Amino acid sequence: MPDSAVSDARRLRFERLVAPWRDDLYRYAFWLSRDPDLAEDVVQETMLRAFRSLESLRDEGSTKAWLLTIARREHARVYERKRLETQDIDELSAAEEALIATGNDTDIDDMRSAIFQLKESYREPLVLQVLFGLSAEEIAAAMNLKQGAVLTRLHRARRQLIEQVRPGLGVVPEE
Amino acid sequence: MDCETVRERIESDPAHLDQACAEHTEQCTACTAFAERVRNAEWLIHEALRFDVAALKRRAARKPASRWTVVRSRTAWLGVAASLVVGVAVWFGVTVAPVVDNGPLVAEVLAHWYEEPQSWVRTDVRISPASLEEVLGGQVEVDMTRLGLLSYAQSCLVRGEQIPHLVLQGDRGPVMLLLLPHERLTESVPLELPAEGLSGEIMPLGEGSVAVMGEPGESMEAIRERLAVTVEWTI
Repeated sequence: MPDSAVSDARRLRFERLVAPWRDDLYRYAFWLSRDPDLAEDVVQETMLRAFRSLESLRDEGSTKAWLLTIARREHARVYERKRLETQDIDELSAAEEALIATGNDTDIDDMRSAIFQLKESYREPLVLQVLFGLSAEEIAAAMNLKQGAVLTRLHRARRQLIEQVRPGLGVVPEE
Repeated sequence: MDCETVRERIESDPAHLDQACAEHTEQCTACTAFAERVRNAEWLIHEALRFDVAALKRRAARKPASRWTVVRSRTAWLGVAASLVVGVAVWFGVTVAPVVDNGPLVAEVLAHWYEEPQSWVRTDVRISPASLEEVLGGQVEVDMTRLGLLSYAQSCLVRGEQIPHLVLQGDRGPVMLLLLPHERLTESVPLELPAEGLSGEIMPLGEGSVAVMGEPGESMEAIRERLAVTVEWTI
């Protein structure tokens, strides 16, 4: 096949398999970093790496997991670099919190704020489960954790969110 | 199965309850109510996580630029500039410097500056000794107390070798230092990035060399003297 045809085929495959995930990858990167600029960097790097190594994706059914692996690695790389440089990521993140409030729905804004304040170790499995529909087993594999640890983090994350946003929700009298 | 265990499982994965959990919930009014409330909250969590990406980007674009966004906004054209620099430097190396071909080394060093624009900040935040140690990777010892304020350290791939990329806060601004233990030079090689107004040189240092590039007016002589007494190759 001529080079241009190979290039076109790759581009089309990229558009079909990878491009539709762009927004969700941005959301994932944002919830990991809590920084829209850093999230954009992570997504760009992820897309670039995905494009370059598209041939290595043999099972198209695993595109989501493959992209998440790349994005997770990119986030770690970018975040670590930034941490080394600035050491003020938490200050930056606090400044970004206001950005996620839309003002359209107080409940959703409150929940966003509560998610924003979750520990990263709780936030990431929640995002992977709720946004990407990953099972506890898949999350455990992605985060290199035991499945039990993932379930514990998920339950604690929800309990914390609910207590913060809907106090009293978890308090249901024993039968 | 007790109520607390069931509720923990509901909170772990409200969309997928196992058989035992589902049976308990069906028979326990309190846990049924609990599951219902968690599912309601789940909708809220989903909506909160699934924000409008375009809207967030618009709001982010309107916020005052942080030092990171200022630097990052340059990356698009920096990529183009990097390609040009590599092209010109390789051409220079191939056609003008026939005796010792340092063109590819110069090209890669100059191109590397464009690859990590986020390192190029004036700051008084110094990296930790542990971070530096990790980046040095046993190839080189650096006396950071005598060298000056190091604000950045990253292990980078240059000419097929992982080398330490440091940023020193100089008199005129940030100074890029690429420690090149594998590049032996007989004399200094000039570095120029006219488009950025930056200059420097690759200085021979013992068995290796150090690429140094900084803002106009930065004293290469002073940096060379400091490097000579603070950097020691260990490979």
